[in-house]
This record gives sequence, C-alpha cells and structure tokens, in this order.
Amino acid sequence: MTYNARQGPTDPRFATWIGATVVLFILSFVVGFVWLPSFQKGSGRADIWGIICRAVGLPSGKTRATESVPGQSSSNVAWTVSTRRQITQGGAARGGELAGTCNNCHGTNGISADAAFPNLAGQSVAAIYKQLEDFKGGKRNPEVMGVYLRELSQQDMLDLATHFASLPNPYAAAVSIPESVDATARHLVEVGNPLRNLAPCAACHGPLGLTFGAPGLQGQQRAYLEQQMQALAAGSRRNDISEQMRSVARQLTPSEIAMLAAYYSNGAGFAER
Amino acid sequence: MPPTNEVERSEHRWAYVVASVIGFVFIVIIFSSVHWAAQPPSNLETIDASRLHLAGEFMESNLGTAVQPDGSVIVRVIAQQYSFVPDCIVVPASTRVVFRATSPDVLHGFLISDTNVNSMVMPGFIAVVSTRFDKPGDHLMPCHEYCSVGHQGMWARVKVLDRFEFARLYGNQSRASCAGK
Amino acid sequence: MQGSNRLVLAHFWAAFVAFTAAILLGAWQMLVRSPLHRWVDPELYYRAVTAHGTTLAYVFPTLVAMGFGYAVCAVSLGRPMHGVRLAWAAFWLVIAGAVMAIATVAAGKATVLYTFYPPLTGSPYYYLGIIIAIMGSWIWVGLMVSHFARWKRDHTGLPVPLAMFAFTAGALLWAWTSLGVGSEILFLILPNAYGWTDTIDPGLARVLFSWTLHAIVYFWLIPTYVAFYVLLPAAAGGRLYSDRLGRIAFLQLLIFSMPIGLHHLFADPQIGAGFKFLHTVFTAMVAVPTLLTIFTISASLEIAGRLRGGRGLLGWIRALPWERPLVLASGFALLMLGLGGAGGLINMSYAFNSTIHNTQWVTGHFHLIYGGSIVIMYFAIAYELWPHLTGHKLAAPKLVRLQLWTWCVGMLIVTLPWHLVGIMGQPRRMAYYDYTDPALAPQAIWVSISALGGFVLLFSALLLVGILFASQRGPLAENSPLKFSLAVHPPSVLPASLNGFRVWTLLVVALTLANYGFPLAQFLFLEHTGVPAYAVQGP
Repeated sequence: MTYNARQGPTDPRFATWIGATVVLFILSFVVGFVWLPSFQKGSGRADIWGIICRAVGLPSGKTRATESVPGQSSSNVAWTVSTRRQITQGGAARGGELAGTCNNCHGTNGISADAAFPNLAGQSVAAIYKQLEDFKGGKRNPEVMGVYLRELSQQDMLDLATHFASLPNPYAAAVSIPESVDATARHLVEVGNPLRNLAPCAACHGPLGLTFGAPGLQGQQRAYLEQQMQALAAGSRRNDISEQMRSVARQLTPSEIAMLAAYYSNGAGFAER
Repeated sequence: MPPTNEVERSEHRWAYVVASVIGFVFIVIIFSSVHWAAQPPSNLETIDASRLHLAGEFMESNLGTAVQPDGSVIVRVIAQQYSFVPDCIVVPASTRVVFRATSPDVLHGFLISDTNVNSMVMPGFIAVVSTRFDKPGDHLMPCHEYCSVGHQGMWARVKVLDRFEFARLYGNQSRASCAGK
Repeated sequence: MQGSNRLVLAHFWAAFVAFTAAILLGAWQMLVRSPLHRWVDPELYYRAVTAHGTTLAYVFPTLVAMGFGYAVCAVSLGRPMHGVRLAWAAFWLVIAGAVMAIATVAAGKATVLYTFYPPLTGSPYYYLGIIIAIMGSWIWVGLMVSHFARWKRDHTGLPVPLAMFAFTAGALLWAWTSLGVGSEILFLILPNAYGWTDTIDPGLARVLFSWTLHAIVYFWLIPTYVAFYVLLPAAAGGRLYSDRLGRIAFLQLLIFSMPIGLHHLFADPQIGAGFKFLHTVFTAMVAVPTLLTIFTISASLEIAGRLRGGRGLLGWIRALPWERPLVLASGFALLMLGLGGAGGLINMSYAFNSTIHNTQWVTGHFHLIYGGSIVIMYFAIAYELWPHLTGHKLAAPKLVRLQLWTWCVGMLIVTLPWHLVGIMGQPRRMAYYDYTDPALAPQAIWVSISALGGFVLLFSALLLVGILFASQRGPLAENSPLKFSLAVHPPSVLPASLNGFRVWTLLVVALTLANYGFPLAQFLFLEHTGVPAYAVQGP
C-alpha cells in the first residue's frame, strides 16, 4: 500500500476500518446476545426473544422463585429514606415532658440505677426509636415495655428518642477489669475474629464505623448488655434486622460475652453521635 | 495493494500472527461458553433494598437452602455489613445450585474457595449465580468487595454434603442452613 | 525546550514526590496485612489504601502524562510551546485538587478506596479534589489539541510528528474517558453528599466508573508507548522500524480503550451477558496495538543490535547498549508487559474471569502491568529528559541501573506471589487475614514474600528521587537538544486517516454509544435501584 496524502474523507482507509469495526460489532452481537446465551439452561423463557432479552439485561419481570416460607419479619422498622428523614424530626423538649414514667426505671438523667434497665442518655435516636417500635409491635418481648408504649404514637416515640439522645454523655464509674479480660474484649472490639465471621464491634457500633440504627455501647449497664447478648445468641431476642446481631452473638462464647459487657460498661461515655 | 517494501511485508506477516493470537483467544472463550455453558451472570431483577426483611423473598424465614420440586436447590443469601445470612450454607453435591443474593446496604461480593462461584452482590439487585458442586467438602466464602471497615471480618462457610446425607439431615426442613452450629 | 523546561520539571517533581509518599504507604500496607505483622486498626489500613490508590491513579500518572506531553509539544514540533501560562494554571489546579483530596483522606473522612463505589460515601471534599485535578488535566488536553491543530494548519499536507500524534491521541482518549468518573462524581455522588438527592444508584455509579476505569490505564500507558516509539530506538542506536504502524497502534488505542469497561463488571447483576461478551470482544481488540507495538519495538531494537555488531538469530539482543537507562528499562518493561498482559487475557476472558474476580490475582495483575511496565518507563523518561530539563548531567549511572533493576526485581517479587495467592482464593481489600486457619495457612508464605518485595520497591523509589535530586546540580551536560528517533522510512506524506482525528473521534463516540448506551440508559427505567448512602466515619 502506498501512502498518497489524500485529504479528507476520500481516504478509503476510513471506510475499511469503520466497516471492519461494524462487522466485528455485528458478529459479537450475534455470538454474545443469541448464540452463547442459548446454551444456558433452566433460565426461564427458552425462545429466541427470551434468550436475547436476558442477554441484553432486560428486567425479567416477576421474580421466578416466588414461593416464600411464611414467617414474621424481625422488625417493622425499615431504614428507608422516609424513615431516616422521620428520625430527624423528633422534639427533645416534648420528649422530656413525656419521659416522666421512663425516668422511674431509666433514671432522671437517663442513667438507670438498676443494672437490668439500660442507660439511655446519649444513645442514638435511631436505636432508641427502633427499640420502642419493636417493643410496641411485639417484635421484642412486650412483657417488659409493652404496657408503657401502648398509648404512644410514632411522634411520641420520636420525641422520646430525641430527648434521651440529647442527654449528656454519662461518665461511668471506673471499674477495674483484669488485663486478660480487657485484652480479649479489646481484640474483639478492635479487630474481631474474621473466620468466625466476627467483624470488629467498633465497625458498626463506632468509632471505626457506624451502621444506621446501631446502638452505642460505651457506658451501658453491664448486666443489661450481657443479658441482651445472651438472648440474641439463644434467639429469644430476634428483632435485629436480618439477624445482624444474632449471627454475631451466636459466634461468641459466654465468657467472651461477659468480657465484652465488662469492657463496654467500663467506658467513659457513649460515642458521639 | 501489495506491500511495497520489506518493512510492510514483515508487518503483514505479523498481522497474521496477531490475528491468530486473538482468534485463538476467541475460540477458547466461545468453546468454554458452548461446552460448559460457562457464562457470567446475566439476570436483571431489582428489589427494594431497604425493605428486604419486611416481606418477600429475602425475609429471614425464607433464607437458606430450599430444595425445588425438580431436585435442584435455591440458596437465598443476604450480604450485609458485616455478615452473610445464613453464615453457614449447606448444599448437596452433584446437584444444580442456584445462589440468589442481595444486600440491604452497600456493595458486597462473594467467592466460594476452590470453586469458580464468584459474584458481586448489589443493593437493589438480585445477583444470581448457578453452579454444581461435584464433591462433598467444606469451603470458605469471603466477601470480596470493600464494604467499609468490617469487610475483613466477613467470612461465611459453605458445607457441601453428599446428596443422601443432605436429604437425611436437612430433607425435612423447608429452608436449611448450618448457621449456629 | 527553553521556556517550558521549568514547567515540565515541575510536573515530574510533583509526580515523583507524590509517588514516593504513596510507595511508602504501599510498603506499610503490604507488611501489615501479611503474617509478618500483628493486625492493625482496619480503618487506618483502608485509609492508607485510599491515599495510595488515589495518588497513584489520579495524581501521579496525570502529572507525568502532562509533563511529558508538554515536552513533546516543545520538542517534536520544531518550535516553542504556546500557552505556557495556561499550562501552569493547569498544573496548580492538579496540585490543588490532589492536596484537597489527599488531605481529606488523611483526616479519615474519605476512607472509600480510590474506586469509591457508592453507596459508600465520604466527605464531598474528597470528590471535589478529584474533580478539580481532572479539570486541570482538561486544560492540558486543550493545550495538546491546540498544539496539534495549529501545527497542522501551519504545515498543511505534512505528517504530524509521531510523538505529537500519539500524545494527542492520548489526550483525546483521556478527555473522553474522564467523562465517566466525572459524571459519576458530578451527577451522582456530590448531589447525594450535599443532600440534594436522597438515594444513590450503585449500579449506575459502577457502570459510569467502568467507563473510565479501563481506558484510564491506556491514558497511563500512552507516555510509556511514546517513549518506546520516539525515545528508545535512538537510545539503542537504531531507528524506529515503522512510523506508520506506530500511528496505527495509537489510533487503535484511542478507539478500543474505551468501549470495553464492562469487563470490570463481569460479576455484576446489572449488566446482561450479551454486553459482557461485546466488551470481551472489544477488549481482545485492544490487545492488538500492544502486540503491534511489541513487534515494532522489537524490530527497532533488532536494527540497533545488528548495527552494533550483533549476529545470529538472537545475538543482537546481547549487543544492545543495556547500560543505557532507557534501553534497560524498556527491556524490563517488555518483560513485565508480557507477564501482565498474559494475566490480562485471563481477566478479560468472559467466564474465566469468575475464577479470579476480586481476588488478589487482580491486584497482582495491575501492580505488575501498571506499577511494573508502565511506571518503570516513567522513570526512564525522566532519566532521559533530566539533562535537557536541568542542564546538568544525570548523576551516578550505576545507581540509575541499580534503581531500575531493583524496581523490576522488586515488582516481580511483589506481584508474582500475589497472582498465586489470588488463585488460591484470597479475596481483595482486607486489612488482615487469619493465617492460622488451615484453609488460609498455605497462603502465608507467599504473602510474606510479597511483603518483603514491597521494601525493595520502597528502596528503589527512594533511590529514584535521590538520583533525580542529585542530578539537579553537578557537572553540566552538553548542550545538545533532545531529539526524537527517526523512522527507517520517515513518512513524507500520510493519508488523512493516519494524520488526523476527526473521523476517529466520531468512531469513538459511536462505539461508546453502542457499547454503553443501553447499560447506562436502562437506569432511567429501572425501579428500586437507588439506595441510601452509607457515610464512612471520621476519627
């Protein structure tokens, strides 16, 4: 081929190359959208249009595997866009007015005097709200809290949650824990145990990372923490969305649970929200 | 037009070599797609990520291994920060297994060690991967896409049982898993 | 090069300083996730990975391409560069953007990794920094195209010098491909980060990112290939075998780099297998210009070798002047290109990809091909340009060779075990692994070897900056201008198809529409695909 400087689109090489590209495209189309997908079995419609539609990536309509085992949802709360927006619309002042009865058990400053009742001061709004909804809806043992929540509206619960979240971070009395307990707990909190499918607790509960709705654990009542982890491990508490916490709790030994409870209750305060 | 000098002649020869190399690659790819029906995932189903647990296919009561009328199994899995649910998946060997996975939060992915099962898991979509485990055995199933700071803790397990043992141990369960054991 | 010397020097210095900092992080990362070190705070690890990746993907290679591009403008066109002030503005934009992004990452506010797949979201300043840096690079694109167009206008009918032609192809490629990540940041991520949208669409974000993700490596590759074609033959003492085939190769890179990004999404649910296959085919096509380049460069080296007295089938190889940095680096680059390219063939092979998707094989692959073959040529380009830029001789030729040797050997030590561990099933992007488990124990030795290689690379990087710094002073160089290699048959006239880009850019756009049109447009009518963002936490 000699190279005459023919200017502009009269250069025949344009046509050759573009033509070759188009041919390549057409061949790839036929092989990739029709021929190869036709070898896939068990994938719904077996006619040519079905094959092409699947290969293109068109939505396949109704999900084919539609029979579901009936069951209860773990919680009625879902962190949709609208729910996340609602979380921000509680009023702390109004919540404070409603909190009279709550204070009897949970303490006037949100720090309870009884180890079986959780501290609520400085807790995340989303976490408190979800537990309130779950108690009210029977997703969490209603025997304890149900009677208090029966009359509360969604706005009431949002206000209460916002009120408690606004209370200042408590400083738990320093309890000395043995070095070995501290080391085991720290290891689980900071790095976890990968092959037991244990991410570090701090990855969801802070400070490494924060999953929406995950409660703060620092400065929580020790007995309460231990009790709840044991309930999650046994499956008697099952309001965690898609078993997020049950799958963790099941992997922990009872002594690890105890050490973690000791570690977290020793904290200087809840992580900042 | 024929080549006019030695440079162009050798270029033409090389062009044939290049075409053969590329052609060979295509032949291998096409052969594997035809002979083993090997193909990347191709299934577009969307789902509302934030509502998975409320109702529908990915409620927790519906997760796990489900034997189908035709003998194949469907394994429904959720990938979330930072666990797979169920985190221990049990399947029978020598059976067609279809994984259906989705996420309520961020991008995840999984591979099953010593197999070529490998898929992304994307919130809003149902990822579908089908395979067949030839032999019983235990496999690891790590998350392989960065899903934030707990990613390195996200390892599930897959237990492949002999078909009859699977039927014996799990045959009467509508949704089987080895989680919690 | 006159007035543009300082400009080009500034780009290279900024690039290599950023580079060295990133390599330091890289060596640390390899160490702490290996069995040789206890597990570290995972957030710190991922933060380092984000900084490392962001610097080495968006900052370092951009500065090198820009600097070398300006040098090509100044040298190949036979007249000084124009628009130097604009070029400086572009430089400072890149620096400003880079500093903004990296500072945000360093503060722990954007631990999202350099691929930043939503719904993982960090501080908007991270994304703004990247956009600002990209805007600086677009000014560079404008300058390159302007130099090309003006020269053509002033020399109608004459062939544009190959170096300029090639770099302009690279600039156009970058302009078009950066639209992917640019759109993702401007239309998806930033609006969500500022609260103007409630949800973000991870599938759409990945498809847009894939638009950029593959072609960007060809943007990184173009300076390396330009060096192969226009610097290496003369350095070896020979001539470029074929100017024409070089142009064809660069055109094919321009055309086929872009419409192939979906091969990064083989395992994704939002794309159908038909489009995945289409991108497989076109990805195979982008191997063609590399194979052509290997041929042309080998032939050019053979000319040089035989001119120097080499005999026999392979004797010319030994006769080459391996003591010259550019020749040595090119040899290493071709070796690593062969290995890395072979790995790439596996990655793109449709269903075979599932064996290695998101395993450490992928990480090993791109470190070998980018960190290995491309970056070693960046060093060589710097060594070649330095005497002309600084006016001083290059310091310590023996150390230069040591630096290149340690980079190649170090890279092989780092990446070859990495590929192996990937085949063994180790997933990517984990801060630590429990090697005490019997299933993972066999991987331990390979990861350790790989980690030690990281320190060889760190040594090499420090040696590089040391040499370049020492070369700023010292004995003066002879005042010979930089010249680009001549071809065996220098073209006196060229057909329009090999001397301009108008029609080819239309083909690029058309292919993009064909290969990406539906995968992107489908998000207009899919439901439920937007999800709330997940905000990564600062310390």
